[in-house]
Amino acid sequence: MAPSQPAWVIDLKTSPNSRPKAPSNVADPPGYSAGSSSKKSQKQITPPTQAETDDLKVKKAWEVALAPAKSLPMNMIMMYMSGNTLQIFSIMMTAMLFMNPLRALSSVGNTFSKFDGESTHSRLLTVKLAYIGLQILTIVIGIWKVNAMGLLPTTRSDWLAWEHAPVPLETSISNFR
Amino acid sequence: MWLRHNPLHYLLLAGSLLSSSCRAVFSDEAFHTDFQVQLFGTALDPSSTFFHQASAGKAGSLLYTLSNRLIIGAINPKDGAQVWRQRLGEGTVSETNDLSKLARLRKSKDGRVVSVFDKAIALWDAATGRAIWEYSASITVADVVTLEAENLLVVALKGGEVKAIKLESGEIAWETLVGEGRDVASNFNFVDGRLFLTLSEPASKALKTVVISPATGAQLETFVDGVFGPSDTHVLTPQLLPVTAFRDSEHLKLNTLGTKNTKSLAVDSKFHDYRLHAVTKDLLFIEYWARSADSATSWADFYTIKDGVVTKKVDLPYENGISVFSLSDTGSGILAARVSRSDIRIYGPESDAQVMAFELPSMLPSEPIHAVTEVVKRRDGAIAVRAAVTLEDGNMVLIRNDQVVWTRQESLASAVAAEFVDVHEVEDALEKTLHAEETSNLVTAYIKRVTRHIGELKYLPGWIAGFQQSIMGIFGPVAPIDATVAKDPFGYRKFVVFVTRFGWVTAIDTANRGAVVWTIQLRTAHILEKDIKGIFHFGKGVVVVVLSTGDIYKINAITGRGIHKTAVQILPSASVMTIESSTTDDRWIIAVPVKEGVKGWFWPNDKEEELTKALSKATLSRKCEGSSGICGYTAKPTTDGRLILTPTWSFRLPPNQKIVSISTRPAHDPIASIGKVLGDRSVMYKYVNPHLALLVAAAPSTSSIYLYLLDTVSGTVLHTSIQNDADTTRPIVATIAENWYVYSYYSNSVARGTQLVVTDFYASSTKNDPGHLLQPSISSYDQPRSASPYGISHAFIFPHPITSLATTTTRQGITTRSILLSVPKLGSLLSINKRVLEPRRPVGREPTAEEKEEGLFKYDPFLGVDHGRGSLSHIRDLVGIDKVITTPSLLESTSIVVGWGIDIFGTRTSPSEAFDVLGRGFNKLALIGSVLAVGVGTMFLRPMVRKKQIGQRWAQ
Repeated sequence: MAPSQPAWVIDLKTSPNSRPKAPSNVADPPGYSAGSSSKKSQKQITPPTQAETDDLKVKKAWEVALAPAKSLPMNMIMMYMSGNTLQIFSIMMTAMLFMNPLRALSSVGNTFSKFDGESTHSRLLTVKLAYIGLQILTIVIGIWKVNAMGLLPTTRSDWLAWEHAPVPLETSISNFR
Repeated sequence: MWLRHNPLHYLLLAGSLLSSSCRAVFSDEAFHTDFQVQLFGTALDPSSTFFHQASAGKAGSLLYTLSNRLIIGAINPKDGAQVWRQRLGEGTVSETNDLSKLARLRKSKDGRVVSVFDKAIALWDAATGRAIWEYSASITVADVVTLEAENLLVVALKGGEVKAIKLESGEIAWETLVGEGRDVASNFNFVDGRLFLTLSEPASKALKTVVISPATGAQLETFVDGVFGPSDTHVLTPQLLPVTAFRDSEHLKLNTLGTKNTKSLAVDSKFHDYRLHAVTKDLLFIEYWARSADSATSWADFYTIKDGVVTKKVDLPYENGISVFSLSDTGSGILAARVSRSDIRIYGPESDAQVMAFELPSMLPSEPIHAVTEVVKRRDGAIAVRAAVTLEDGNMVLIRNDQVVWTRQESLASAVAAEFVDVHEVEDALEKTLHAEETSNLVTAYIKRVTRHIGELKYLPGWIAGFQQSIMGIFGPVAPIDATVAKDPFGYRKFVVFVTRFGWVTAIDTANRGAVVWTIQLRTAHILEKDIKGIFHFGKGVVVVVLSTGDIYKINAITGRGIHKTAVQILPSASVMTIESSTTDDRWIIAVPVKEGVKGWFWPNDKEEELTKALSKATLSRKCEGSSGICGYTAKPTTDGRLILTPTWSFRLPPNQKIVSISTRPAHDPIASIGKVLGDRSVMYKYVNPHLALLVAAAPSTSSIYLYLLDTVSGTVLHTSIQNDADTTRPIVATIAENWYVYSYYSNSVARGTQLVVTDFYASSTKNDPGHLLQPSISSYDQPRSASPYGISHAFIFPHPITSLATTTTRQGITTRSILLSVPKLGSLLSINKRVLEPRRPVGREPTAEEKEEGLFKYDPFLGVDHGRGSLSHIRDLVGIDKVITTPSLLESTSIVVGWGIDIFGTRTSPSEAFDVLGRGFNKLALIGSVLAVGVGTMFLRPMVRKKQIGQRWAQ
């Protein structure tokens, strides 16, 4: 426990959105049982420590970061089910598979900004990395899908159109009549 | 398993599915996109061309003819349409045979005609052209005569055998042998119920006549009428005359049958020729002519024959010009018609004054060769004449009085060479103009463009007409517009320029149902196939015809005007080819003589530096002396149009092998993709070599055929294959394109029959191995052993003999090829997609999924004829198509095909379906209708919706 602080310091440090204390000079309304709530308020009053808040934030951040992992199996199943034919649905789904992670990747900072603080910043790094890794994994599924659809130029035949026959150095003229 | 997908595959797969399920010709395209010029050939002899009643008792007669291509048939004299035709001798016409001695067509009893060719006699129904019976003799037939009373056809064979065949059944009624087989029979005469057979006895040099009883065949009398000298030959004599005619170089001798009475008429055969006509037994008409260009003459004499004495009665005027005579008796008196290029004159047998003259409104295109006429004298004395005239250019015209009623382009049946000419290439210099606009400055470019647009206004009326037509075409079929006015956006319009045996050059228009565009005479009377050194498309609508005499004719193929005629001294055995400058538009004709050490020629003999440049990297190849192989040369021009030739290589066959054919890749043969994509998306690289030549040789002694694939620059043999148990007497044909060749031969092996063999060549046997293919440039001299092609083959059994093979060509070579087969037994031109003739088709098992994706299906050795899908000629009956030429149109999907020989057949074909053009079946009405319906609907709905929206806003 930290040494006792002046009231204004405590006022200052408590989060601004915490409920303002009921003015003590006003009597409780009749029937209001202070006993049961006073215990709670007793607990609430003890503010979470900085470390606790940080832990909580990081924990929350992990939850956000691991959310794509939950959708991975679903994505995989969906991709498998949609088949490799070039149809509007499979194309749209595959496009989403790229769009969503890319959008998420472009706003990694935003996504974690509410968990970001001086103390959590360094700890959030691994969280972000996990998040980015999972998004990339989703993209990998997308690539795998695109490859399965035959849209990646991975084979010799994909480059055939740019290959040309050599120019013959000689000419031949003939008449065999 | 995960299938890999590639949009290209879908396209190919869709293409293959389409092509396997669709027809070669859609029913609404048949007779619209294709044309056939039905031809007989040029009438051979005036005695084998005649007007004859098609069936007994019926009024109106048809014109029957026997042609130089051995086609017999009937023509409707009213419009020149073909009634029927039949082919004699299965197309065994050799150009040197004197056909008029071997083949003849004669009237017979009851609306029948009898044909004779060599050993075969056939009786035909004159109305339908159905064969009533056929008889094949052991030796050549000398003459036939129909005996009406006895209902017999009597045949004399050359050896003196005489057979009487019952007209009804074709059974032999009697037969007899005259002269113990030593005498040579020549002709029959049938006079007063007695059948005379004239023979010559080679041993004793006597002219002999035997009288045969028509009823029993008994030899009643034998006369030895006179001397038949060693220089004497028989002259075709009308059978109803009581005389037989023979000739030596200075006389025409007329022997009265059964007497020694021979009248000798002095005719100098060196200059003059003659022909005997008769319609009754007591009047002989002899026409004389000389055809040489500087001293053309013609005249004719009437002779009466009374009591065996031939006396001259009237001689018709001698003229310094070509005219032909014909004698006619239509019941109103005997009249002779004299047909010249400008008029028809009628003479009677009584005097030499003309009875009537019909002046033709314009000169005939060329001089007449012979004519058959029907001259009718009406009761009021008016004379009408109908003449079927065979002209020197090989065509036949029918003249009624003073009008040419129709012309049949029969000369095209005697074409010896053909070449396509692009019409759009001449008209569309657009590419060049645009390029010029790009390079010049702004103002001049603008002026140029405006002037070009003004120049293009000439197409506006045609375009408006075409637009109107296409609008009207929505609602129903319309008459086709004049193809000469409208622009041809798809490049369907090509001229095919033919050189005919008669020394004429004729062009037909493929977009206008094969109509003759122009015709022009070469200053040469008669051309055989060997006389034509070549017909070359010289670019920009110019064709050059080179003859073995060294004459070079440069002709504007669009207008048909001769541009230039020149003669260079070319050895008759020289090979003529054309070379194009790589930098400029110049072209030259090059002649390479067969003899070693002799200089060649080039024409035009200017711009030697350009030619030197063009020839510096070129190898010329031709057949070696004595057709023993192929020889290659390099050439260097010297002054005065000569070439110094240096032999570089030669490929000679062993002495027991004979060249059957040598084919090279077509002049326009682009390879769009240098590899073939397999099912697993790996690539088999094609063997790409522009210098390929396929030499097919036959060894009759061992019944084998040999195929040599050569590089014509280095002379290297790239691939050899041998077929044993081949019948070398039957047609062996081959075609080569891209990286494959297809050939057909008759096999006597266990799988007896016509076989069609396809061989594809790849750069390597392994996948994804381009070999030397990806270098920027390649030399034929720098080809290691490892660079030799890898060939794979499949053979198919085809049910009918194939006389000609060709390949479709398209503009960029993206479209799959079709192999075109001319099958005379079916009278069809068939097309087989190259996907079917694919050596990679799996044998003995179903294709795997990957192979299926590649478009392969299980190999079936029997390649049946798929009339529905494979026939380009659909229900047409083609006769004698033995050469097929193809050219690309401006549409990638479409290739233009023209087959020629006797008939001319032209069509357009899309081997991978018409993917870039709307078919005739496209419903424009539905399209426009739905657009209009949507427009009208919008017009109605707009106020309603607006009202509703406003109402909604007020309600809020």
